Amino acid sequence: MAPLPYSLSPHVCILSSPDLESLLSSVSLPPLPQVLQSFSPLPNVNTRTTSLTTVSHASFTLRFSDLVEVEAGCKEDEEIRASRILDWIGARIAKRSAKWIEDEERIKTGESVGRTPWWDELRRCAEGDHIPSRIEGWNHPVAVVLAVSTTAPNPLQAVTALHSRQLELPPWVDSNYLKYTLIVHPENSPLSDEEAGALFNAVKKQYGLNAHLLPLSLPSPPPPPVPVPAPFPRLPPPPSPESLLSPPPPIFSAPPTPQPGAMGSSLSTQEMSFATSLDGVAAMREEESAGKLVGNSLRMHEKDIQMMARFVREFLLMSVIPFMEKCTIEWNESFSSTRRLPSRLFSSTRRLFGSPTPSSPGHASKPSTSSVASRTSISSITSNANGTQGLGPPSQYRRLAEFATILGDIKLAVSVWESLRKDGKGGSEILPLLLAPSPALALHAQHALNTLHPPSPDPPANVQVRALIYAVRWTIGVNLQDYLSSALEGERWLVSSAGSAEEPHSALLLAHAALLSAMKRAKRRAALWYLFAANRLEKCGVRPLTMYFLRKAHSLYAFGPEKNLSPSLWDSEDRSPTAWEGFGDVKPGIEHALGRLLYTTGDVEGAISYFLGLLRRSLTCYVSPQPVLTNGKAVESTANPSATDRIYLEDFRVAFKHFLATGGEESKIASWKLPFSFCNPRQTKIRLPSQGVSGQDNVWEGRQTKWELFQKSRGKNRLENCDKAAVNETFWIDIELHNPLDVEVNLSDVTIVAQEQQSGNLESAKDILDAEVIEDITLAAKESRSIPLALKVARPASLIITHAHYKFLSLLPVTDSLARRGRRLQETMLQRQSKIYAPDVFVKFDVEDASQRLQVNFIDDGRLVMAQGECKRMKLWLSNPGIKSIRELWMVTGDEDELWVETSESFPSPPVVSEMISSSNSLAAGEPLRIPLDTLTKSSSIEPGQSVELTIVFHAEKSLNDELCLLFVFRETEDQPFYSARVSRQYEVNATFRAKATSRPSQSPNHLYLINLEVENVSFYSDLHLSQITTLSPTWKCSPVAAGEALGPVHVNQTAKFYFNADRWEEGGSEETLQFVHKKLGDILHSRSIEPTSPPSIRLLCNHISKDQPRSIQDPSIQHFVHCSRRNFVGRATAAQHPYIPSSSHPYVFSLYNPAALDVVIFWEIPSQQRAGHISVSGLLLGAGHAALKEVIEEAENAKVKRSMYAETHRERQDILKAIRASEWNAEMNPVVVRVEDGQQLQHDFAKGGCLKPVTFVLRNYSVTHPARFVLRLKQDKSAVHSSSNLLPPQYSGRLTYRGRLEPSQEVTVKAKMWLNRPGAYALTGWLVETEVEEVQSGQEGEECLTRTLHRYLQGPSLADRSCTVVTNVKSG
Amino acid sequence: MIGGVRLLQVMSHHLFLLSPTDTPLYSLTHYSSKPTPSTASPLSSNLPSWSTSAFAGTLTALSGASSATQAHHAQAGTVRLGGGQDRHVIQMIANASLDVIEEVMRRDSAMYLKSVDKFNEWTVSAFVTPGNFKFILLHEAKNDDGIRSFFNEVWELYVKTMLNPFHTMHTPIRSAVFDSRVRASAKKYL
Repeated sequence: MAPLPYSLSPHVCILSSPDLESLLSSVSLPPLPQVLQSFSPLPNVNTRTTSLTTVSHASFTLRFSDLVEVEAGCKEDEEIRASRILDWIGARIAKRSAKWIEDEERIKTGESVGRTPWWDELRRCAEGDHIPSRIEGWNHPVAVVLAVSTTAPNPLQAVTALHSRQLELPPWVDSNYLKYTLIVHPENSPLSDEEAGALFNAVKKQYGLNAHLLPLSLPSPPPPPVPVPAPFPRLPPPPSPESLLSPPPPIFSAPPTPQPGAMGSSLSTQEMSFATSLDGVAAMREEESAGKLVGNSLRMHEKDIQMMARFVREFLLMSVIPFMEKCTIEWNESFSSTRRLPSRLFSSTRRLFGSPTPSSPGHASKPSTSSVASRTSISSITSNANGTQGLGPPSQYRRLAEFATILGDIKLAVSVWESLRKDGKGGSEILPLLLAPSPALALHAQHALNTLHPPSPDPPANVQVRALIYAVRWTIGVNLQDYLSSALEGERWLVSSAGSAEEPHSALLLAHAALLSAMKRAKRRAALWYLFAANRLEKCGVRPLTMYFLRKAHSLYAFGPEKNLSPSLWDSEDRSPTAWEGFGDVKPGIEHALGRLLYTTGDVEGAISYFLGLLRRSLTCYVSPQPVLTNGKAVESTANPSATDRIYLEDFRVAFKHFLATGGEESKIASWKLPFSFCNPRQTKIRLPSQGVSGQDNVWEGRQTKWELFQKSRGKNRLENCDKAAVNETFWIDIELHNPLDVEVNLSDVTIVAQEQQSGNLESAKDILDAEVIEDITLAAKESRSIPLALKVARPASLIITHAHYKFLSLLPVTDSLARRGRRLQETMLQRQSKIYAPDVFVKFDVEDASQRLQVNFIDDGRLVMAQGECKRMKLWLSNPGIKSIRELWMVTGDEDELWVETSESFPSPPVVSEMISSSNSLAAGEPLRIPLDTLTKSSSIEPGQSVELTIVFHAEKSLNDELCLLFVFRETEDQPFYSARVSRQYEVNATFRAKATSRPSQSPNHLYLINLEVENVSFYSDLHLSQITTLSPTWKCSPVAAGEALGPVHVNQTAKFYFNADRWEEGGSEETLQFVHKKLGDILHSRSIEPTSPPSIRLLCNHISKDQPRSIQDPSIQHFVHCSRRNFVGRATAAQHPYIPSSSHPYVFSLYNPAALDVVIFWEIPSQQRAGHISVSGLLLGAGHAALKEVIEEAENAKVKRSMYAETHRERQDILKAIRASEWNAEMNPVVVRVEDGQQLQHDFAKGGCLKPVTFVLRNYSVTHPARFVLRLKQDKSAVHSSSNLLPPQYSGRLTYRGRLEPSQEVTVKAKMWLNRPGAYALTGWLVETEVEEVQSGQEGEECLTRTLHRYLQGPSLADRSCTVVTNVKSG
Repeated sequence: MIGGVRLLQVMSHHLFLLSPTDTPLYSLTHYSSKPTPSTASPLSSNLPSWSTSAFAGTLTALSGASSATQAHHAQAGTVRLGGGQDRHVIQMIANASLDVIEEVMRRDSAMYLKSVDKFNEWTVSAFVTPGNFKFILLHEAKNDDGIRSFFNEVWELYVKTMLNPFHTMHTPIRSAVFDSRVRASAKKYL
């Protein structure tokens, strides 16, 4: 069991005579109580219990106080006194807090030993209270010592005077005490020793044996001081009316600076152990106050000290303890006699008979030394025993319990306290000190506090003081280990004691609870209690301690919880275990309070650091949904993030302005960093004038790649990057600024800092770089904005843009890095296991001399609106702002762009209806175009400062919105690198005509095919004229059925129709083209590599129809555009059909023109607007094909399948095969077309019977390569006619089967006969043609040609066939 | 006769969802204005409600205890965030309660831990999911069954949110659906 607290010790009051007082002051000694107090506690004291067992106390404490003081204290109203105590404690704490904090920060103690100076102070103040209370009896005097000295004129009279003095204690103070007489006999006394002895004997005779003669030497020049324990601070007496006017005299009982190091002996042993660890502090503090050991020292001689000690010991052992033991035994007898009755029965009896107040005459007896003897008859219980309202003395049982407690008779004490508690008369507050630790103790403590006063927001001061005293006793009287155990949770007792009072003492109680919690490792709770303590203390205005508590709360909160989680959790979640953010508002809440406190205490710099840190809040804010009332009304609260951001920002602004106004150090400003960055380095980029053109980056990259591919074949002259700025040329850097705060902020003096790439000096580029400074930018909450800054460089250099510089709120200079983190490295195992990044990436740019430069602009750069197929002339303005001339200029266009550079040469167009042109037949995209400078300028170069005009013709056939991006590549001489310039222009193409061409076998025996061309005006141009129609084909010749009468205007939504007869035309290189494509496709099917050879050129026959002079297609520009549009068409179709053949190899596999193709070019014009153009219609294939690739495909299919690991590879091969089989190059169809002569009208007189009429079948072989055998069978049954038809079925007669052979393109006529027996319309169906396509294999010379059947077909009339012969009955004669 | 007046008492509740690493994922402040009978005498509770409702203001003003409550809770227009506390104090309380919750978790394997701690006027109830996610509710009045049902519903909603494959243990819940459902549940039970 821990020793009892100081306040639970016998209280001895001393009444000294005036002569003694003057004697002591004459030898510079404090009053007698204080002198005696220095000898307490006494070591090795034995007491006896009621069962006469000896209890030995290692130390036994006595409390001495001045009786007059106690009497005065008792007269004061308890409530007023309590509030005075609270104010006094508050004042003491406020006065000392600054010093404590200073010491605490110098030497970090307290934490580890669970003791802090402020807690010691509070505890000593609470323990030092010595005025008797109505509630408890601890402060009621156990003994009264009447002290006189022999220096009195008449010592015996003085003793008599003291004895006869009536004690002015109120009736509720226990009058059962020991009276003791002390005679101090100094050496310089007028009485000799014998006289003194005689006096002592006389006194003993008159006033009993409780007396002592104390001879002291008391030398007149006082001996050197001897350190003694500091007395406990005591509340100064209330200021009397007269003392209000004069300054209060110094009070001995409350020394101005308690010296914690010197109080060791007055502390309990438990505290002693703490005190030893505080030795360091004590030593230091002693050094500080060296030479002025006044407050806690006695100037007494060694011999006197021994005499005094002997007296105190004798007084205790011979008088006080026997007195208390005697009382205990007597009272215990009465207690145990009543205890024999069950208290339950007792209380019920009392309830029944309603006599709760048996009289207690004992306490009214006169106080005297003999009162003990007369007390034997004292019995029964006092009514107002619990004393809360008590006017009488404390109950005997309570005194019994107290005495037993003091004497260490724990068994008795506990039983009495328990019975008191059961009767509701207190005891709960002491039981925790006496009982073994168990959860019940917490209930006792809680009960003790609850019985004081029901919990309320503002308890009376008296209750607060009581609660404080209880709490302090518990912390001292319970072993610390037990106190902190989970059964007791003593720190919660402190919190309960603190209640809701907003006084310094309650704040300190909370702080101590927090300290103990932290020792228990409940850091989060400790943080909360520190915060509560700080909140209360702040209201009392104790700032240093408030700040200390806030800092503690902050550091404890920031500590983060220790978790027993799997170590791999952090890896899997990709988080660091130390990066714990926690609740979003806690840290800012504490920091803001700290910042404000710092600001009010004048530490502006500290405040600014905190306010700056607070601005981070918005970034870490996780979820703070607006609280919503159930009735839907939003609540205005501080939870609104923008409100808190605004407050923080405003505080920062005010503090910083104050800092600047008071002339703060410049070096401080540099150390402050914004907790976030406004710049987004990822979005920072250089914008050069040459890159100012629009167009997507990948488009320009495509142009450059095209140029590089082209250039690779020609030489090694590289293309210089065009991302270089020129000296003294203005270019821009775009910085993206993002405001992460929820409030509007402004930045001023925004600029950038650059350095030279090779130099490590940050300032190296300062002289040559002229960067724009933007004076002021206001960013709204959460706004992102891109800010362009103009730059100009004075000489060629390589620069890195490292930082952005600005002033936050026009106050704080901030430098943000513009470095981007490099990519994550994953090359090595180490890099993959941890996160390693490449070095930071900066924005770099090069500045060079403006030697080779070209500026290209469209002269008319408005929006370009074109009609579909229009040939638009555009003028480009090329100027050379550099210092060297340009002698070579190339234009790189997109693969699908149709552009023609117009030269002054004019092409004479001969008026012909039919002409022949030659085509390269290649699908290859157009190469970069060299601009003929000699036709533009006389010197065939663009000299520096010179400008030339270039006309280009643009033709677009797809109706869309797009951008024309032109890359110009130029250089001066052959041996120099190329440079580039860019120009782009948006354009829009509106549809003009929708044209459709279809073909079918011609009914006419003279022609093979009939082409039907329908042209519909789908534009909004009302005067759109068709001026010419041209057909192009390598193998087909077209002639208009009617010569161009449909040409002319075509109104909106009108359709013009044209018919052409198409016939075979043998010329050109069609056979070679076919062989080329077949070979290449065979290569693909056999997975052979494809040689980069182009198809052979081909000749095309062009036929025009026109009302006027036809335009020749040989005009290079038209030929170019026709070629381009055909290429675009075939390119797109091929890419769609053969997705697995890479498009880069298309030119080496396919040809531009399939020999069977027939294209139509439709020329149009809008005469009113002087606009003209042409559109192409492609995709028509005429003639029969015979699966030219059949054998190759079969071979590929039957070839030994290479095992492939991947299903995808196999599937891809299948897809390639399928695509080739279905392609136009493998077309296969029945070449024989049957035509029945339809629409014959016959007349016959059926009265004469039926007749035979001829029916003509014409069979034509449309194949130009293969002969075909045919068998024509005619059916006679009725099934020949479709059931839905109302025609009569034909009845063929005579020969019903015809056989024959058709050479390529040959036609044969079969005349069959039909039997007609009645008039009507006879269907010409019921026939069936079997066709066998043959292949002639040329044998040896002179031998017969071998033939082989390639395909077999069967065909009959279609279901829709309505051809018929009408026979009418004519009566002849 | 001062009892029997049905006070419109505004109670605030604060809900926090924490990850196993005690990182807050979601927070909700809910105000319920449930009519709670004030310390009613059995006699007056038998009276028809209209007999007192018209004078409710006067009556409550006359009664000492209830007028204090009235003044405390429903100051014209402004509703306190809870005990006149700042938001950071509320969060701090939730954080401090984790000490006890962890202790209770060691002893008790139940998911609903009931009231684990008390700080001033705030009672802290907690719910720990099998995945070690903690739901903490700060409330003023005792409402064990309601809170149990509320926690169970929030748990269900939370599990549904966690089904999202992009939702990790530390992803703050910003789903409006989740928010509205939790609010609805709070309205129902608290």
